[in-house]
Amino acid sequence: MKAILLSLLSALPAAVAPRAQVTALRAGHLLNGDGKVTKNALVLISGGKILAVKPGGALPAGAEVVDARDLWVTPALVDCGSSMGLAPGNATEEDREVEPAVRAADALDLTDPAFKRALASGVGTICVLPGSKDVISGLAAIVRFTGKDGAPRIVNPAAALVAAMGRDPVAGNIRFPSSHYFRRPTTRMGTVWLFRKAFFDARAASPDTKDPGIRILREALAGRLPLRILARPEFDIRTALNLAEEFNLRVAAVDEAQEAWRVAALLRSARVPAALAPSTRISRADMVKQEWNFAARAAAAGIPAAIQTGRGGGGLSLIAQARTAYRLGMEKGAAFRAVTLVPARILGMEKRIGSLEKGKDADLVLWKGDPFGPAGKVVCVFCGGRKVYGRTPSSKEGSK
Amino acid sequence: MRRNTLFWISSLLGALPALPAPAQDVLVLRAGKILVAPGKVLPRGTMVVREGKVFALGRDLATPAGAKELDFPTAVVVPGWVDSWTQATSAGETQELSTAWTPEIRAADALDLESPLWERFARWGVTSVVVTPDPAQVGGGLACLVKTGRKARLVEKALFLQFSLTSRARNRERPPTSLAGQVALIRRNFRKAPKEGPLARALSGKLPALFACRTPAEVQAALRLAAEFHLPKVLLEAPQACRPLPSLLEGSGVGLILTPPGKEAPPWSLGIPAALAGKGLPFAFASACPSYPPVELRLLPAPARRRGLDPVRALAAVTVTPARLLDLSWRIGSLRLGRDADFLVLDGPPAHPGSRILSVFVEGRPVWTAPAGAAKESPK
Amino acid sequence: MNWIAPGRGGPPGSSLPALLLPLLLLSPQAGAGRKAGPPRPRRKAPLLIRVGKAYLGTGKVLEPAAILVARGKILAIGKHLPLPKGAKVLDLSGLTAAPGLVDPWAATFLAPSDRRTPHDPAGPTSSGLVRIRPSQARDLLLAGVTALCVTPPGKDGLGPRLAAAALDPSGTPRPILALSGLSLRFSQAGPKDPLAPLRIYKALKKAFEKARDYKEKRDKAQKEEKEFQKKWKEYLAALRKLRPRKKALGKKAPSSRPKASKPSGPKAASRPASGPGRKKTATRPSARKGKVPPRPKRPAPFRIDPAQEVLAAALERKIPVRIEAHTSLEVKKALQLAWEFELRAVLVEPWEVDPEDLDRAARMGITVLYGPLDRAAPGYGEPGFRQDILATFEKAGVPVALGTRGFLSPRFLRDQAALARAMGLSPGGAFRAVTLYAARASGIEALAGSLEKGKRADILFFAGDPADPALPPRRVMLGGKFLPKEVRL
Repeated sequence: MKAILLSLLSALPAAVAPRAQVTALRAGHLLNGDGKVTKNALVLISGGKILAVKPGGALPAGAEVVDARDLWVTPALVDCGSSMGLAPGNATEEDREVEPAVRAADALDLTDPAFKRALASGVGTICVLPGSKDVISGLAAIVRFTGKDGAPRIVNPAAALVAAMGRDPVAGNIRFPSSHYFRRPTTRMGTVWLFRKAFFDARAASPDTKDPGIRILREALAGRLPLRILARPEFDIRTALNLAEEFNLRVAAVDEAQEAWRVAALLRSARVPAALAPSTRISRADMVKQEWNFAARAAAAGIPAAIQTGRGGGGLSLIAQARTAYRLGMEKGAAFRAVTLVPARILGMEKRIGSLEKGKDADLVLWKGDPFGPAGKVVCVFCGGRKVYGRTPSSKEGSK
Repeated sequence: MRRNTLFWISSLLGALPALPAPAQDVLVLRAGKILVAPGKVLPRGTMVVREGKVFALGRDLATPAGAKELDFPTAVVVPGWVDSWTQATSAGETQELSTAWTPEIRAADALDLESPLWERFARWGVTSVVVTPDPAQVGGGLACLVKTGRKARLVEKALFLQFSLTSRARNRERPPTSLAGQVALIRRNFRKAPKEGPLARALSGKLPALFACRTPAEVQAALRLAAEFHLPKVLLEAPQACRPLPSLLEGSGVGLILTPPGKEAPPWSLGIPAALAGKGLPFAFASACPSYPPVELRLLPAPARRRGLDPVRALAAVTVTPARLLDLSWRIGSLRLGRDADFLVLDGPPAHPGSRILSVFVEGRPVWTAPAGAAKESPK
Repeated sequence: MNWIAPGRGGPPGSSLPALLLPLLLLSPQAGAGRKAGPPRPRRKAPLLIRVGKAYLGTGKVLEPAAILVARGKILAIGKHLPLPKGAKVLDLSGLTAAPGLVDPWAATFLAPSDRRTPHDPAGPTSSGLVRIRPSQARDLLLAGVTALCVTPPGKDGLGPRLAAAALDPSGTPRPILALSGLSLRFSQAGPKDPLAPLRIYKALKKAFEKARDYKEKRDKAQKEEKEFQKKWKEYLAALRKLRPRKKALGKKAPSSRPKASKPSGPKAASRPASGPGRKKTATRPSARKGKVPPRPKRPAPFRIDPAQEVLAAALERKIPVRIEAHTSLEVKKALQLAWEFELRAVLVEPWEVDPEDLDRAARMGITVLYGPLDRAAPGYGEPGFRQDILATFEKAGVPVALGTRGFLSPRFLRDQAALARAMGLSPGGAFRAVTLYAARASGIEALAGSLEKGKRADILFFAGDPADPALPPRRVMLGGKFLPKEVRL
């Protein structure tokens, strides 16, 4: 009896609720998932989510049609590491080297035109990282264009804990003794020492401590808060993975990782993706030997690789970085996944974004021309089923 | 309706027998026009001031015995200007460099009431000055209210609690060094705020909290903090040259104090006050002395008026609105009954910059009079 | 030495009669003069504008008024003007006319690096002017500023030369006068170095005396050159008279020699007759006796020194000299310098002045220039500052000019005038401080600054009181052309 009642009650909302408006998108080329191209595909969107993706078929009755038969359709791109909206001085809090409670979300300027530019280049989700001048610099934030008229909004102000290996935290610490910055670390060993000390102290602190930093480190120790570690050369990547293993931390990604292909086996067995630095920037920091095709090598070695626009603003848009990596040898499918599926997984949002599948958010981009071709241009961007940028192509056929 | 009420009250009071009062405490002022508040003019009116407060307003009021009489048949009487954000103490006296969190500091403790600065304020028509601690501390301190003149008076010791998110509070040599650090510091200290004290009063709404900002990122950070801690009464101090200000403040219920734009004001910055007025957001103009010396506050909105700000709101931004934002409208900002009798006597309409100040009164006492023989209106 | 840059006026030769037109077209100088400079207004017909009220900028107010504008200049202004043939009429009876504002102390049109490096008289200022963005130029024009005097920074002592330029909606500077003034500065060391003004006075006096010598030498050299030219012409003419012409060689030579009797006899036949074959042995001047004037000697070439030229122009009272003097001692020395060398002096920011210097300044016809009163004035908020300094000068009869000094955008010029009014300047004085007296301090008083016959047609039309800074101008006329209405915000 109870079961019947429960089933009836659960069925009621579905019966009573008005059927949400279905939008049918006819795509000339659909670039989705692993990088496969489907011609003349049909994407059905309802209630901000994807209902179905079919390789062609009839339009459902009463559907609003978006005719993109001469356009390419891809899921909205995901930028898993950038410093948009952060003024250069605001990126890192350098009071101490371990600042887990500082949030990049607190210093974000959502009116920064860089966000508009990113949207106009097809990016739907951005992860903003604090700077790399501290060993543990704080919490990253995830921004999506869900506001009015596509305005950016912070959807997660504490998405990941950001740490840095190498010489970035050391920079500026070798000074005259009376300076506030005359402190550890001044070497790589010091950086690792501070990292380990922070987690040791977090473990050893009393359970009801009020210190927000310790509480955040505890979350990371429990695996509830993922970590993003900056490591460029292969010995730093090795160190990062060792530390993660020591403290049983969940590493969401290794940032920049120009030499990831050298430790491919390690990354594969630890199942840690690499959020690669843009190929257009040649880094000489940390004694890294950046090969011109490091992205291609990482993909060929089987590491799940994502491409990010990186800290330090300016530079090419995300799709331009993916195009460059493709032209420098990265396999096209891998380059496509590097800006869609892999970063979605890094941000922990693979159930919602990253590809156009049933149940995921309807974030897609219409392109004029192949996005990986030289003339690919964004025509229209949808976020959650709503158009947030550009002009929808006029529908030529009405619903039948 | 308002005027009728005034008329009846004043005539009633005029009909009463003259109350016994010491002669120097009662002042009867007759003027060509009395601007009770911007938009409310009493032509050929009389104002009776008793013990420093506006006792009666109307036409043809009876003069109590022994009262001092002043007659300005062609002049306009306006409320004294209110300067709502200054650090009018000597440089550095409220700048506590050793630490960033100092909510117990009071600007009132660092005042020099003998300074000739107050007389200069009075000469420019500013009768009430809000002195705040230096925005070099994140958890700044309590602001105070001073009445100007040769004998300046401190009238309010704790007006609001100031927090600074500006780059002045960020220091390369002492924490915090970044905006995110400033916000983290504020958040940390709000969470472990003591049960009593100015911080507790600010968190519960008994004391307004003012955030000093300069860039759009800082304004957004302030609004986020206000939302996170559900601060009931929030004020923002921002420069005019902050472009997204109207869209950011829309619907937030936050009062705004505008400071003059910097050296090279970009052209759009002059249109910000008009945009704010268009969205119905209240704002006050402040001089941010000493970075902008005491000068006729009335001239500050003139460039904004060229870009569409209406004259009533421009005048209100230096009188009624700052009083309202600071919860002081029971005391200053207008010449309504019961308020302090702080007024200026001008020789022309207040909207026109050519009208000069003839005398300045603070709480019924004259604190400055223009030297006799000042150049009259000569034809061009 | 043409001080007026090629402009709408054009070089004087452009209006010569048609007879000499081919010569003009061939001569490169005239061609250059015509090609360079802003394009001429297309309007050939004069324009008569009728307004409700006009503030001329000289102290006179006309109500109603009519202004006749042609070729970018004001031809006539008066209460009622007769309508000339072919003129168009524009009725703006609801508006008040006022002259375009002049900012005498501006850093607009200067490249950012030029705003920091100190200049000296040798450095050309007008060729270093850079464009501003059209939106910036329109913003300034809509605030009423039509001309400015570009003032680069300088060192103590001799400073840079000034250039006056008109604004243009495209952002290009239109030079009105390439050299419109000279800047001098007494030390800014203040109490740290109390004797600095005396030292600088000595240095400046020496500089001007040197310039005086240079001027004398230059004038002498010019005179000698003129003399030489005259003598050379005479010499050539005399030569031409003595030397037989080529054509006339075939005929009997009209020589002044005594006629040689024709020899007869057999020897005469062999001698060739006078003709082309005959050797011209007798035509060399050295062969002649006593009829030829001596060849004039060319004077030694005189090298023009551009820095000294500027000082010489100042001595000739062609350009005003701005002397920055703050304390009463500096003011005294500045006035002494101006008196000795009969300079058209403009005192810049005198914050204190003795009463007798005040009278001297009034008698010498000196103008006084101030920068932004609320921002740059030293010690503005401090007790020693005399807030009535402007009114003091005005009462003594010394005109006061106001500028923005590059600390503020020239857009805020009218706000400065309002502030000056609040500080005690009379309304007329405050108005003229940004129009006529500003033009006087910039050296372009003859060309701009008021609505008078012969000046540039830079006119602002207000729907109210021009002195109210809250009121923007309704229409702006620049050089005889109205700014398009769509430009308005």
